Amino acid sequence: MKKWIRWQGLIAFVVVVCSVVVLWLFFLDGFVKRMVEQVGTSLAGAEVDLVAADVKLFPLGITLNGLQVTNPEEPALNSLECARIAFSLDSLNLLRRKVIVNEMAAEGVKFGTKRARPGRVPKPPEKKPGEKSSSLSLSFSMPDAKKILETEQLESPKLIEAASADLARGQDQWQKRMNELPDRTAIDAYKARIQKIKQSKKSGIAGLSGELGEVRTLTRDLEQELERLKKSRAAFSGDLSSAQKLIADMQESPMKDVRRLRDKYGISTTGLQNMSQALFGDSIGSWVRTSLLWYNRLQPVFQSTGEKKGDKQVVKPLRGRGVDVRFKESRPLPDFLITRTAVSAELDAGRLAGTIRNITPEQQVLGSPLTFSFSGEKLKTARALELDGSLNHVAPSKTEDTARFALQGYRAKDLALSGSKNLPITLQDGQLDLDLQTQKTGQALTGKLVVKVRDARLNAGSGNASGPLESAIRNSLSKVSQFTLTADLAGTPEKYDVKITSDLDRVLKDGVGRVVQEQSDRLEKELKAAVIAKTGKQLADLQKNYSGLLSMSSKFDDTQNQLNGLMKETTASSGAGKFNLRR
Amino acid sequence: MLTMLAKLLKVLNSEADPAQIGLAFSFAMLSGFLPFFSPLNAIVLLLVLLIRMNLSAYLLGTGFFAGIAYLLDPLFSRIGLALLTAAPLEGLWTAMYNSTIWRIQRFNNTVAMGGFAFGVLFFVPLFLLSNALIRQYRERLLSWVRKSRLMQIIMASKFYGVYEKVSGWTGGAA
Repeated sequence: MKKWIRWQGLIAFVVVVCSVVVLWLFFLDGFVKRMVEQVGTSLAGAEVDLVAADVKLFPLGITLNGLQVTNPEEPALNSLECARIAFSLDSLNLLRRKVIVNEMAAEGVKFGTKRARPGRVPKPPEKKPGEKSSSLSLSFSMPDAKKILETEQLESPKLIEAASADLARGQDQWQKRMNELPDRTAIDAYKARIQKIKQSKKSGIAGLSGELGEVRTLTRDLEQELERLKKSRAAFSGDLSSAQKLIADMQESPMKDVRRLRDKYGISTTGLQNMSQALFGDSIGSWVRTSLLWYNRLQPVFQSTGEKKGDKQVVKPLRGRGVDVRFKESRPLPDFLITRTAVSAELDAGRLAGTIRNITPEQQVLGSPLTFSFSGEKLKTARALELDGSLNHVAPSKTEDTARFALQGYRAKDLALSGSKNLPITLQDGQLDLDLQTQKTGQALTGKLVVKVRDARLNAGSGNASGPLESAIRNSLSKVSQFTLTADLAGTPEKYDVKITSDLDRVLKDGVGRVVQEQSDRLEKELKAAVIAKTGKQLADLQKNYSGLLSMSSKFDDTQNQLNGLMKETTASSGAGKFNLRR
Repeated sequence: MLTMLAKLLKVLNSEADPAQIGLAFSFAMLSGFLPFFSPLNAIVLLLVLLIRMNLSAYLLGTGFFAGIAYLLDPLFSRIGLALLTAAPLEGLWTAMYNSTIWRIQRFNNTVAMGGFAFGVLFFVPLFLLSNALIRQYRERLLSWVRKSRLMQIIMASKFYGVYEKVSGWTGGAA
């Protein structure tokens, strides 16, 4: 036995283990600090810094000092800063690889603080291509007519040119057909034939019969000429009325271009129906985007990534290789749980204190949802502030997250309502009541925000745009003393729609409508002048072609009158008038 | 690399009991196949220090088998998952899962379970095989190796200097 056992090995083992433990303890604080920074950075999507971490073994607890989370959208700012986070760990459960924190305290939480240096953002947040800026739909300056015509293609010049070519072609065709009608030579020939009949002194039945035959032949020829003339004239009349209609259409076509461009570049009074959407849509849309961004980032905190395999659950560990298979526990506990977190945050309005319960990615194991409840204490600028809600993922297939934020009697000062560069709107002063309720059931997202402002003093600032429209908006807003703004959110986290309504719409429509109409009329007038200048000569040419066609009408009259005169002369002068010469 | 080869030759050519070298290789395989930070490895280390075996062979073997384990991890994970999800063993695993002592061992990790099962399965065969091979080597090859041309070249090279250096170490089974 002695050959196989060396007891001094036990001493060596103790020495090795103790050395490892001492080294581990020596580097533990630094290890925890680096781990918090690394895991925090991957969760937040932006640099997370920690001044110091302090690990105590008896009782086992960790204190984190000076936590800073960079705002990924503005790296020069912290989205969150926390002076101190302290918690104690359940040692026995830690041996079972379960991180159970019964009580955690987060003190001195601040939002939007400045950083000493800009934080690193590994992957800057992207603006979804489907999202459009609502303020773009509201152009504050009427564009110049000349500039519009430099970029826009007019339809009327092409139409007039085509119509002019049609008329010219028609005129040519009718000119050819006119040449086929009896001309002066033909009329003279008919006159000569009549003269010949008049001069003939035939007597007797045979003579009279021959004369009658000649009269009949002449009459038939004249009748045929008249018939051909009538048919041509009818066709000509049809073409002439078509040409008249074409001329009327072409004279209207420049105005059609003018109206189209006015509607495209001008502001219609009907567009003023929902100006609050255009003015505040971007700001509220940005708040919704930021909220959803953080909701998605915090999902690993309350949503498990495990998959079921029969009765057992296979959970991918954050670190290490392989997978951990979980079996039914006699006293089920999640791998990570913070039962209660007391948070104290410093806001501009005052102090916000509250608790978050049941922070765990495995709510289905715990059987309870994450809940949070905060209220304002010793508020400087508001009468009351409340924030509460729950993230219920107990049944992963039937999740329901709700949040409610109520702020009453908030004394707003220089609060940016619209960040538009053209027309930034600030609530310089006012009493504000805000009620926000949001709910996400499965993938269906709904929300309603109601903001009531009293004793308001609005300022539309000095943005990039300065024209009569902006002046009218500024003027209208300066007279507003109270208003209500409602935003309805509906859709999914990926595709949502924010509909904003406000009684400001009516005020703005009344105040701005007249200016918009004037601006629209001015633009129309300028466009009309510019388009007419481009099409005037073409229209004159068109009119000239039409006049040429119209002049042919008199030639028809002349020819018809001459033929009718010849017909009368034929029947009267031959002395055969007493005979019925009609066949 | 030279040092490792020199160490291996030193171990094989030493007077140490082949059984102690074989046992060290078997424990090395167990250590190498388990995840490095597995608590089971601490128990293996305790046994290695407590049981008289060749420490040099253990350290060499651990490095070697850890490299093999890196390649075999997917296989270990499959074996581990099959064992941990086998219906007949569910009662055993559930009982162990509810015990803190076993939970510390992280037996429910597929790679840890697969590596451990593989190591245990091949522990005795490797012990017997290495024992037999070392005996055969010493009986038939050792004198030939010492006289071989290759060994002469090695002895004249830098490698021999390393060999000489480690020959002076107080390792072995002691």
